[in-house]
Amino acid sequence: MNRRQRLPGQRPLVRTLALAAGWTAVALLGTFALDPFRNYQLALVAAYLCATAGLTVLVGATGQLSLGHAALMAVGGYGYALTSNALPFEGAARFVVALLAGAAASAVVGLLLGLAAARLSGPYLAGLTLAVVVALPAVASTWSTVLHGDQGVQTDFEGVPDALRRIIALEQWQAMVAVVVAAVVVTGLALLRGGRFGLRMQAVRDDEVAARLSGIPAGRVKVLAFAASSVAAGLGGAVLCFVAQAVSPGAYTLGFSLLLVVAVVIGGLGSILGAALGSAVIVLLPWLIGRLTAGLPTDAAQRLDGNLAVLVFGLLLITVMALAPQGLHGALASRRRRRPPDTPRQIDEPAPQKVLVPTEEQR
Amino acid sequence: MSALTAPPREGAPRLAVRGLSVRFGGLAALDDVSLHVDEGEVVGLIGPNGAGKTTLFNAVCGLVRPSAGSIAVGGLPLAPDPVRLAARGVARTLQGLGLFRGLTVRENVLAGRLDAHDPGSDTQRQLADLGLAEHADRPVGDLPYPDQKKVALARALVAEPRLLLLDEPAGGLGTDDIAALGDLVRHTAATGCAVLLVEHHVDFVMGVCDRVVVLDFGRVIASGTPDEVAGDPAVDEAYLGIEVTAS
Ligand SMILES: Nc1ncnc2c1ncn2[C@@H]1O[C@H](COP(=O)(O)OP(=O)(O)OP(=O)(O)O)[C@@H](O)[C@H]1O
Ligand SMILES: [Mg+2]
Repeated sequence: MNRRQRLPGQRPLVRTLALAAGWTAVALLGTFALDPFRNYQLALVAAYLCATAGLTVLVGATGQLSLGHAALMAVGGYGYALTSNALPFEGAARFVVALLAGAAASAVVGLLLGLAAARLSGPYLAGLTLAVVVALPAVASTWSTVLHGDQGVQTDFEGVPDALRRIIALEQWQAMVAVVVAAVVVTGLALLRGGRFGLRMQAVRDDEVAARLSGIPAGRVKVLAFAASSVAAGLGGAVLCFVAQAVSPGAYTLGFSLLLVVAVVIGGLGSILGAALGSAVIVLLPWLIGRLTAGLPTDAAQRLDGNLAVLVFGLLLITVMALAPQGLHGALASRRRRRPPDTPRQIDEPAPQKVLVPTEEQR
Repeated sequence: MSALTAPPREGAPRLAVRGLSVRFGGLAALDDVSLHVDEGEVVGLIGPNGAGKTTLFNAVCGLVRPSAGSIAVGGLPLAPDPVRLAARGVARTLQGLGLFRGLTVRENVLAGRLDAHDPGSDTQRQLADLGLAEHADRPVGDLPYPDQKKVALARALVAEPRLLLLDEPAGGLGTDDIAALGDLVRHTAATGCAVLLVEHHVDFVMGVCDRVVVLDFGRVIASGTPDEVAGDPAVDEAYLGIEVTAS
């Protein structure tokens, strides 16, 4: 990249790449320390991270709220599964082609949704995306010859490459692949947000009219942002299908879609690190609750199982909103940034909003 | 319209508005308004609240659709698309601040220059010109109001416009800031930029503008040099709402 292209005040490309490579290396090495079940959970976190990172960038940078990212994951999953099943070859090539097909499918759906989304705002956009998730089972049964209704589509299993089979177990391999895909997605999103497009998104979010007057095509920016976020979710869905060897509407319910939003909110809106933390929470919490209720008599445990998770997520959400409105990431960052007690506070005059200035902007 | 499709002529006004009318339902916000601004000229657009000043800006920027009339920039008719204005060398500030609250001072200015090859250097220069360099990386909302007004101005100026539309640039500013703003406007015009500004601050308008156009209820009721307009009884009447009998 041309050196001049970098915008001042934005994180340099090299730093973004180094940061991404560092985190990826940590996660990949970590898979060696984890048992198969933990590696399976890591793969889930990585797959969810694709979707939540896409969602947090969308909500944080453009202000568009999607309640339908689970459906976009499903689109990626179906794209992956159908392509994988149709391909005449196997191995790494099949995986990569199927993954790209999943991304392409979610790009198309995301573009169409984004076109509608750019004309809607607030509750209307949320409603539209909600409708897409709710409609998913109906879509799967309407085209049941291809999508196989509620049963979903099974795919062939992608095993560990021969060369690595001796040292790496299947779950670890799946976790590693998931981590690499998530790393690519997250890096892509970070670069997108850190460059000119990121500024355009934020300008449109803050003041659409002012953005357009500055030559920023607000409509196109919103559509592209939605499509990019959709591709991220689709890749997450494709990875999930790679891990589970199946995709079905039952995995992408409204509840799951809302859980993605919860992950983004508790992680901290707009923060990719927060999305990673949030994804870990939504994977680990239900499992922890399951462990806790396992000691109870079976019928009580069964009755509690599903409901307790909802309750705990609700409480968690309320707690985070009350104690750390910027989410986990915000709470961590502000702790790090806390000034030593002896440094003088910077004196910021409060913006004199009450001067004789029309606050209602007339345009 | 056909007379204006000719290629830009030497000496064609930067902005030419002919017979412009804008209606909001039954309300004629603008009624057969004509005005022009030449290169290097500062024209003030004044009038009481609701006279249609902002609406005229909105029409020029393609934010509202006129029911009649034509708008030409540099002799060429203007596409009714705000996004394409910047490329045509038109920049505008909004009556409020119109800033991007979630961005820093620098990013706000950068946003006005994103299509350029090297927006970073242009932005840095513009920030330095307006004395904003030391605040460059602060969130724009942390600045005092007069500095936020400067940021809005910097975002318009960084695009190096040939036509600058300023909607109440002095609103909320103190005497010193208004004087500095006046110098800046004159300086911008001296580089050949045409400036059309809306302002209620009478001393500022009279001191800075080459010509003044007075709107009332969507119609031009007076125009001329500041002195000519200041002595026009119709203007006093419009502003004070009282009958002034010419004696
Ligand atoms: N989008 C709109 N829809 C309906 N009416 C509008 C709209 N914009 C402006 N108006 C009306 O058009 C008239 C002119 O408004 P405009 O904002 O142009 O006035 P102005 O001269 O800028 O006033 P001010 O000095 O208060 O800013 C007013 O009566 C206003 O209420
Ligand atoms: Mg106005």
